[in-house]
This record gives sequence, C-alpha cells and structure tokens, in this order.
Amino acid sequence: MASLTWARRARRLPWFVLIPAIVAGIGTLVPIVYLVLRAFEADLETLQRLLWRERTWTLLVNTLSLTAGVLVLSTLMAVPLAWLTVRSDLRWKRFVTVLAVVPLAIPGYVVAYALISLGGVNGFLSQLFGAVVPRPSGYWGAVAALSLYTYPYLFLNVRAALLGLDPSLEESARSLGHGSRAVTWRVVLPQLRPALLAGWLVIALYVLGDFGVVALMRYEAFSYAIYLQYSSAFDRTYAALLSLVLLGLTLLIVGTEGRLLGRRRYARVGSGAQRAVVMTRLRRWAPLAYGYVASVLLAALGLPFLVLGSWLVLAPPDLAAWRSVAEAFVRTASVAAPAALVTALAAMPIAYLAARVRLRGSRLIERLAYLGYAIPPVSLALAMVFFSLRAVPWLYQTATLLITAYVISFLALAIGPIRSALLQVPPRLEEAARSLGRRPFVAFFETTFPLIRRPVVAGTALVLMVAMKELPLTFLLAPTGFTTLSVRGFTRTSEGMMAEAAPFALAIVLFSSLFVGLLVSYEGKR
Amino acid sequence: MVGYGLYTACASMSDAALPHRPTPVVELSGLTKRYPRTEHVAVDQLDLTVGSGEILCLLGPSGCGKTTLLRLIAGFEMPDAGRVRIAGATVADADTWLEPERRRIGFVFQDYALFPHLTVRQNVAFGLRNGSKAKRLQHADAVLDLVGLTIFAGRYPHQLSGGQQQRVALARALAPAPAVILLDEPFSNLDAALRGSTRTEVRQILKRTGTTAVLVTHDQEEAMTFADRIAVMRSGHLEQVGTPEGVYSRPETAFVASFLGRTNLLRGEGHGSVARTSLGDLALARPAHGQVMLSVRPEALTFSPNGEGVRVRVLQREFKGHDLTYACQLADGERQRLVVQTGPSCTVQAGDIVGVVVAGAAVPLQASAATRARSSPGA
Repeated sequence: MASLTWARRARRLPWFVLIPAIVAGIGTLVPIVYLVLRAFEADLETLQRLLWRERTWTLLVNTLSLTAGVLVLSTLMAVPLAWLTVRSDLRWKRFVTVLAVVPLAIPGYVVAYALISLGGVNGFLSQLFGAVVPRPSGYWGAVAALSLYTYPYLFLNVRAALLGLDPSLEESARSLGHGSRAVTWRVVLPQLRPALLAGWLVIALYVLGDFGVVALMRYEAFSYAIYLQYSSAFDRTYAALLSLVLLGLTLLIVGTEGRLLGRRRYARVGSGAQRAVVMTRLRRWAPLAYGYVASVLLAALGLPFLVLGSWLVLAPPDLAAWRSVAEAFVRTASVAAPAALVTALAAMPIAYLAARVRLRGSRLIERLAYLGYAIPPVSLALAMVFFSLRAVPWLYQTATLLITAYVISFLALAIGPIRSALLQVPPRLEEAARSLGRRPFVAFFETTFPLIRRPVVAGTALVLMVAMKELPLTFLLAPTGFTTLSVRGFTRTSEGMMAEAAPFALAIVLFSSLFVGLLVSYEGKR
Repeated sequence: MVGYGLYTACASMSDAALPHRPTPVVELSGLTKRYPRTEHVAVDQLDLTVGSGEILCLLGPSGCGKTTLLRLIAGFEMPDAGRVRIAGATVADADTWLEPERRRIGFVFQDYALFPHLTVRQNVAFGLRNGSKAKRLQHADAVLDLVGLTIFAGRYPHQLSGGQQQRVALARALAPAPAVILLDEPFSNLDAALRGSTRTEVRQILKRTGTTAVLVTHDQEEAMTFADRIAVMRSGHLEQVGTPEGVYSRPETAFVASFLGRTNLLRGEGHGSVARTSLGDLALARPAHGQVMLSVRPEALTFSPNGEGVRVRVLQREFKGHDLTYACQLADGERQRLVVQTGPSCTVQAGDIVGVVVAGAAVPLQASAATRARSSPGA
C-alpha cells in the first residue's frame, strides 16, 4: 500500500502559499552563498593568514566587550523600570511605560549624534554654558548610545513577563518560609529568565549589527571595520571574511540563547483564574524610584529631543535646507514603502506555512526568514553587493537591490505578529468556506484574512518605520546620489556638521515616533 | 448548477417511508488513511455506502478514526488508498482528487466554525453563489426560517447561544443544497438539557429537506435516536452496520454489544439453535457451533417470582427512576457476574438470593474486525 509521499502532500498546498514562501526562503540564502563564494575566492592559505591576523582578534574582543557593556547597562536601565511600572505603587505608570518605549523610534545614530554634539568646542554644552567637555567617543560612547536606544526591547520583554507572573507562586514561596529577598532570587528571577534571554538576544543582535553608532563613535567593532575595509582597501577578501566571522558570531549567539532557554516549562501549570497582584509600596524609597525613572527617561528621550531642538533654535535651517529634507523624505519613502508592502506580502504565506502546515520544510522557511533578520546588515549589504556584481550586474546600484535587502532583513518583523494572529484563527473556518464552494485562495481571503488584517497592517507599518530609519544597508547599497534621511543625517554628523544634521535627524525621529504607539499596542498584546 | 430546491426535494418523505435500497450518495471502498511518521492507521480499508436521504451515524470511541473518515469524505484529508464517490462521481482515488469546494458537501463542525466577522445572514448566504445578491440573501432568510432563526439574521455569531450557533451552522451547510451533509459531533458542545431538543429539531430539518447526512458521534444514545443506520467503528474498521434496533439487539461482536449499552457476556457451547451456558440452555438469535461468546441484554433477564432458573446473589441495587438495575453473581461456584434490569417496582434487595430466567434469545458474537486484522498481518 503506497504511503502518502511528501510530494503528494506538498502538491495539495495552494500555489499562493508555496511559491512566495519558497522564493522568499531561497532569496535569504542566495546572498549568503555569494558572500561565502567571494571569501573563498582566495586560497585557503591566504584565508588562514587573514583569519589569524591579530586585527581579527582585536575586532572580536572589541565587539564582544561592546556587547557585554551594552547588555549590562541596558539591563540596569530596563529591569528596574519594568518592575517599577508593573509591581510598585509608582504613579503615572501608563505614561512612564509609553515614554520608556518611545526611544525605539530614535535610531542609534541619532542618539550617538546627540551624545557627540553635547561635548567639544563647538558642542552644545559649550555654546550654551561655555563648558567644554570632551566629546564622548570610543567604547564608552558606543556603550552609552547603544544602551539608550536598545533598552526598550528588554524593558518590553521583562514587563510582559512580570505581568504574566502568577502571584500565587510568590505567595506559596512565602508560605514555605522564604523572605522577600529569597523569593525574588528563587522564584521571580528564574521565571524572568526567558524574557531576559529573549531581550538580551535582540539587543545583542542590534549591537552586532549596528553600524551607525560605532562608526560615529569611531569604535572598531566588526561592522565598522568591515565597512572601512570594504571602502578603503583594494582587496575585498578580508571584508568578505570578516563579514562571515560576524555572521558566524551572530549565529553562535542565537544558538546559545536557544540552548540556555532549553526545554523548561515556565508557564503556569495549574488551572484556575489568576489573581490580581498586590503592588509593592515604595514608601521611603519613592524619591529614589522617581529620581531613577526621571534620569533614565531624561537620558534616553530628553537628551536627543533637547539636543535636536536646541540645534534647530541655535542654527535655524533655511528654506533650502527644509526643502532638501523634504526631498530626502520622499526618496526614503520611495524605497521604504515598496519594501514594507513586499515584506508583508511575503510574510503572509511564510507565516501561514509555519502556523498551519505540518510538512517537513515549512518551519525551515520561517527559520530562514529569521536568519535574514539576524544577519548583521553590513554583512548582508556586502553579500548583496557580491551577489549583484556576480549574478545580476544590472541590479547593482539600483533601488530594487536595496528594497530586496530590506525585505530579507525585515521579513521576520512582519512574520511574528501575523503568525501569532494566524494561530488564533481556527483552520476550520477555511475548511468551512471550502465546503461551501470557495477555492483555497478565496477561502483564505474571505475568512482568515479579515481576522488577521490588523496584525498584517501593524507588521507592514513596523517594517515601514524600520526601513525609513535604516542606515547601513541604505548607506552601502543605495544608488550613488540616492541620499535618504538616515544617510544625510549620518554623513553630516560624521563630518562634524551637527547643526546641518539636525533637521534630518528630527524628521526621522518624528516620523518614527508616529509608529511607536502602534508598536506598543501590539507588543503589549503579546 | 442545481437550484436551491430545498423544500421541494423529497419534502414529502417521512421517516418510515425510506426506500428499501436508496440510490447511493456516498460510496467508500477500500478507504485507507495513515498518519505520517506513525504506524497508526486511522482508517483501514473501509467500505461503506450511504443512501439518498439517509442519516448514517458513525459511532465509536474517541480515536477510532470516525472524524478522519468524515474528513476524508469532505476532502479535508487525502486518502492513502481507496476510493470516495459522492453522488455517483468519483472524488478521490489513486488518480482523482477533487478539492472539497467541488464535492457538493456541507460540513457542520464540532465548534461550528461560524465566520466571526459576518452576520448570521451573511454566514448562511456564504455558500450561495448563484443569482443576485438580493436573491441570495432572500434564500438565506428562507433557510434561517427553516431552522427558526429569522429574528437573529442581523446578529453576529458571538451574540447567539450555543444552540442557536449550532442551528446557524446547520443552516449555512444546508443553504447550497449539498449532496450530503457531514456533521462532526455537532451536539457535543451543547449542555445536556439542550442536546436532546436540538437533536430532535435537527433530525426533523434533515428529514423535511430529504438531506443525506453522515454524523459522527461517540454517544450511543445520540446515535440510536438520530440515525437511520449506525456504523459502529473501532480502530479504523467498521465493526457492524445496521439499523439502531438491529445493532442493539443483534450485535455481532462483543465490542458492539457493550458499546451500545450494558450487556452480559457469557461463555457457552453452541449446538445449532441453542447454546449450553451457566444460565442453562439458551435459545440463540442465530445458529452457532462450538465455543462461543454470547450477549444477553440486562432487560432480557428477569427475576423469577417462585425461584425458577439459576440462583444468583444480588450484590447491588441501583434505582434510576424509570427502571432498576441489579448487579448479581451466580450463587454456585462460578464467579460469573450478571446485570439484570427490571421495572421500577421490583422489591428484590441487595443480599437476596433469587432465581433468574432468560426471556429473550442470546446473541452469539464473533471476533471483532479490528482484532481479526491485527492477528493476520498478511492482510
């Protein structure tokens, strides 16, 4: 008796799911293959010599210590803030929560810009108060800038975990004779582990992938070094090799996170409704708590807005400057909008495949999309360059190539919300529609799609926002002269033209802030 | 395409007037379905025919493959082997595969799967493709009238009670006048009080419209009250197919006998039309020879007023209002247990030793189809 073969089962899948999913999945892999090919053009001996150069190790140590520094500082910012907004009698919790998330809208290079323009002879502090402080740069500058803009990811994760904690677990620990400190260590923190790991993973990926901050702070981490190598050296083999090392490091970190998380069960085991939490009263610690909240928010949010605003007042841009901002905005949107649309269209079939189809390979395609998200942008940009030069030279230096890179990089952002929404829609709705005579695509479109429309729109908007402020891919892949808001802001800053950079940075921040409400609303629902 | 002749088709057919051999609407032959990466066979070389206007219940314990069978008919699952024919057309075999939307089936899901973003009327009109929009909505209203939900037409599913949602699901499946309607445990989400009345109502609607239906259930009472014929299923095989009375009173296997209600299983030695058992020589419902397992329903046993028959010790007396159930044990050496059912006014008490006589015929049983398939691996 013939058993049902994979091919026969796969044949049953509708084309509108299978084809886009496979194209998107393979699309992620192709550039990486070319990156490997480019690196291995050199003979093995050369590669070995390059790899074992002292510089490679310096970069590795630099990158890892930067990551560690950012993880420590962002944890110090995020965890107390999360606890205060969930478990204490702090006032204006909702307001503080929103403000704590807004830094997501401020790109790292804008934070770096704000920090840099504080110091120096022509700096903000010097012009305002006559106090000349050295410009922050190097390791500490990079740690500060990256922490100030990545801590919301950890904050959101920990907050969600704290909200989900079952107070009766803590109460049973108390009843078993543990004091409040022991309960925190033995019950609360272990349960926060998955949230901490998830948040740290996202932050580590950001740090590894970040280009703007380390470039502006002139700190030699991998991505900045790759860029320098790529733009200045004649031989691009070392750049390709470093990109591969960075990619390997990223995958190692992703893998470690998965291993650390393990198979332990953290959800509530019992049944029954969860009771409300009793808020910890701050009492005499209240001034300290408010001071802490204020200083974190002031540094992460107040600083960039204050600096940007001050520059606009101190050196108001003329009409021509505003016009060039508008032009850059239109250019940015002209690549970000198509990227967001294509990403959403590709994310739906992949999410559908991952959520609905039990078939070997259906999870693989989703993993590939997440791989695309994890690839450090500078590595991806170089991979796209090598890929286009080799395989599709007519795509090199085109907007199409840039949009493709955006889609590969941001696909996972759109898949996440769509997939969790799909898991909540029973597949029987589509079966019912088909039993009533609908073709598969129509059945999906008339029953499931209306129910997942909101997350699809949210995912699209999120990708649009992220693409609007994206720097490294745009910087390395955009056609010559095609300067977006982020590229303008970045190049002006790196040339020390702080006042000229301000309107571009402001445009990005304002635009992104519009979307943060959206992000908060669906992050909060997870 | 067929019009929506819901009322005219077979509208005059009453329960009793079923044709003896109706034209087959669903024909399954050699149907087999395995689940990937498991040895488990959900449906194993199964043959079954459902006649026009007939209501067939697939009855079996959970995991016996009855829902899979229903989904194979609908086309939500693809068979590994065998053939499915609906209304005379092959819809699935080794070379043919017709998508569910082309099979002219209606499906009522266990949780109803009503479209939450559509009103009741829009849900019912969903399967209607012909005619103007006004005409389709008019037809939807007509079907809603049939299930008695006209006043809820403008509401959304979440605003209805469970029983009402159930009837909307039925109306939605009935509206396009499918060749067969498939119901997957449709009453299991209703509370006990509502279940009986909804069941009667749904049966009346199906009969009034002359709809062919296959219903899946694990509730033997539901199967017996709802079905024209019952197909008892176990481990992917059909154990027995027949009318409720036939399956109940003349079970073919011990599994069928005990799944459809309480029964006494006795060992005996067949001698043609009688069998020698610990209850004495019993008349057989069908001839048997040699060692045989017999089923005797509790209501076929009575306590004899003057101590005739086999003497038993009463262990337990269970009063259920409309009847009494006794658990007994043979008084002599053998430890054979017996269940006896009597009218509600019987005065026999626990601890009594009384005589039991057999009123009806005993039914000789065979080995179950599932057991036979397992013991002959070459099959």
